[in-house]
Amino acid sequence: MPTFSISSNGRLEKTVVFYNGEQLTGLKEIYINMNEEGNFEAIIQYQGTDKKVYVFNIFEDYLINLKTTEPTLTDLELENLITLTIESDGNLENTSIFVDDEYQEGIVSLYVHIKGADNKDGIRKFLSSKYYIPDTPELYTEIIFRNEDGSFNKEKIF
Amino acid sequence: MKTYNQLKSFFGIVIILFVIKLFLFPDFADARRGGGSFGGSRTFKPRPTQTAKPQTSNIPRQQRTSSFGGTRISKEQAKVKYGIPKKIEQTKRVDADGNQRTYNIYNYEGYANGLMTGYLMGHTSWLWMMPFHPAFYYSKPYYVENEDGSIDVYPPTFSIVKLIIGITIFSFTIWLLYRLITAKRKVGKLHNSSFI
Repeated sequence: MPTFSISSNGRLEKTVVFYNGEQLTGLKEIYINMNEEGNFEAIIQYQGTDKKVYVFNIFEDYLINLKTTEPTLTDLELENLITLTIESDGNLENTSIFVDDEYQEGIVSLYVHIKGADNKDGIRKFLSSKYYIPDTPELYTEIIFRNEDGSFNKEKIF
Repeated sequence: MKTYNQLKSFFGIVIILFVIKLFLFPDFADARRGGGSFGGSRTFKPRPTQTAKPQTSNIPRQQRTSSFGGTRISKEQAKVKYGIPKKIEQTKRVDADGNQRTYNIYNYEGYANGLMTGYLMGHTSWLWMMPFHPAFYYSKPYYVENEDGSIDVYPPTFSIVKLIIGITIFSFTIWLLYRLITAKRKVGKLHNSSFI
């Protein structure tokens, strides 16, 4: 069963993603939208080792030409980040969610959208006045829990 | 698609460089064409007067006037613009066409006077066309063609337009350095991230 983890402090430059324990690089976008009504979307867009851009379902597809790297953060740095881990085979019934290694129960929905900055290349990137790290947040996460009394709690993960 | 973008970027750079060259060296080719003491082209040709006095040489008037660069002004304009000179030196030189000409060099002293001498001697440098050299901010010598065939030469003047171009170039250079430094910082910041 694939394990997909995102460690972040809410800033794109401090966001690292692991797939089955390996740190990924070259990611463009991650979109995860799951809820108890049966909606299960987990999409990843990345630039592969062959420079082509791929879009796959994280838990159902084989992620070809995935770029991995040695861990770029130290253990101490990782401790200061919040880690969201999803274990799933693509079915909601077999999906477990952990936040900082703590198993989460009573989840109504999980929404994660992380998008890298526009990847301008060459001279256009250099001449662009837009910051490579966008000032506007492009990292949004939301998790909704159902409490024992039937009320809902909406929380941000990072 | 990527190759197309790279080609577009390449042609963009070529066009930018070409435009910069036109801005920086508008009279580059003309300066070389002068071949001697004077560079550039004339902005207008004088109307031949019926009262023309005997020439100092037997070369037709039309042929002689094509040899000079700088900017031609009238005697009245020169008087208003420059006033009374410190001294006037008369010298005879061979122009680019090989004709013997009489030059009345109006000396006002100062830096511009040195530049004028440089132009007259043909000792110009490509550095004069660079914005970090003071000569860049000056025009070429002005000259007045007299009826007797002699030529009054007036020193270059400070050009506000060239000053603006110089400031633009310096600003662009500073901006370029700033972008280089910040681009490196940005790459460093994103180095730890999984996202590109």
